[in-house]
Amino acid sequence: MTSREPLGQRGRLAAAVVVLVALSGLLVGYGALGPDPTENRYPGVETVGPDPDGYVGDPVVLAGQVTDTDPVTIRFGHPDGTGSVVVEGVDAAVLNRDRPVETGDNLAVFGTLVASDTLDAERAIVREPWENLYMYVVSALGGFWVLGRFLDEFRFDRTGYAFVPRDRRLSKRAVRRVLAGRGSAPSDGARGEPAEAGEGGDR
Amino acid sequence: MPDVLAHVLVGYALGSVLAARYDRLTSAHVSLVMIGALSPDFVKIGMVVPGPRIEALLGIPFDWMPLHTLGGSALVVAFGTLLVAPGMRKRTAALLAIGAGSHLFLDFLLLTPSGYAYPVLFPLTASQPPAPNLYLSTDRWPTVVAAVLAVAGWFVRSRSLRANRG
Repeated sequence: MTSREPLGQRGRLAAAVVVLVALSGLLVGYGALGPDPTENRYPGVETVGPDPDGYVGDPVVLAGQVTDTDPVTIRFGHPDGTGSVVVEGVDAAVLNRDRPVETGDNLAVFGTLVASDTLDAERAIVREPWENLYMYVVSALGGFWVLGRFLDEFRFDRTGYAFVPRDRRLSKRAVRRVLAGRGSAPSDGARGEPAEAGEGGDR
Repeated sequence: MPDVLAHVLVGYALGSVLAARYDRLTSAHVSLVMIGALSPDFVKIGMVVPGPRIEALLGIPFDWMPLHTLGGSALVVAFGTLLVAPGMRKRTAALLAIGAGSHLFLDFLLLTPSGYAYPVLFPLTASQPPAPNLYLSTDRWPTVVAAVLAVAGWFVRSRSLRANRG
């Protein structure tokens, strides 16, 4: 699997730098774009939060946690602190629930900022607090699955400075060790784990 | 789709079907599709290091969003491809791209507050197309569907492995 670098390691490094510079260019370039309703890009909490007066009369997307239901009020964090708005007409605007909004719900609202502290809701999405937690847990699970498979099936080849598939798969136990942060993955030549009694917590 | 697990399950399903079809592909190649399927969610790095904080730090505009668009995703795939050995780069690029493409497509279908999807084609255009609004990132059923597809993919692949052995 150790075929030659077509452009040498220097050429490869140069290619990687070009890719990363181009990517940075995209991240900066997109950051330089302001909100633009003609491109369906609406300001969010990080833009509106520090300067709500500047967006009165504009369509915005604000998301936050419901702190009160009479009237419905959401609070959100932004770069300069926290802000809150009263959301009008939210129950009719909610797209994904039939029940009224409750305190503690996470609410994402598209609408017009009719005053610096009032949002006239047009479309809204409600999530219960556990739903976000569920998503994080399940997402972490997906991430660790992929990481585990990657460690199991690839190794870093120090002569070619590149990842290559392992010839033999790591033992499940070795993967657990690497994931737990103890020791690094053995390279192909090394044997997996000497099965010493008393080591490891799986018995 | 929604959560990372659903994307990765779809990546597993796609990779498994490809591996069943093309004998040269191993489970390492299935993993490459899964990594690709996860890669647009590198944008979630913004939950740890928010874009505005980087703007304040560097004094220049900055937004992680392009990682979750056509152009940014293509560059991430290109970078990942450079990390593997030369002999497997073409295949790696293709497999990562299939995974990343599946992610971008499934997220295009999401239900959003504004009714518009993310800027899918950036940097070709920063415009956000109308979203089909099919599901939420917190919905459970897409993940269940993805899991069923993954099991089906596993079944197809193990049958082809058995057929090869026999």
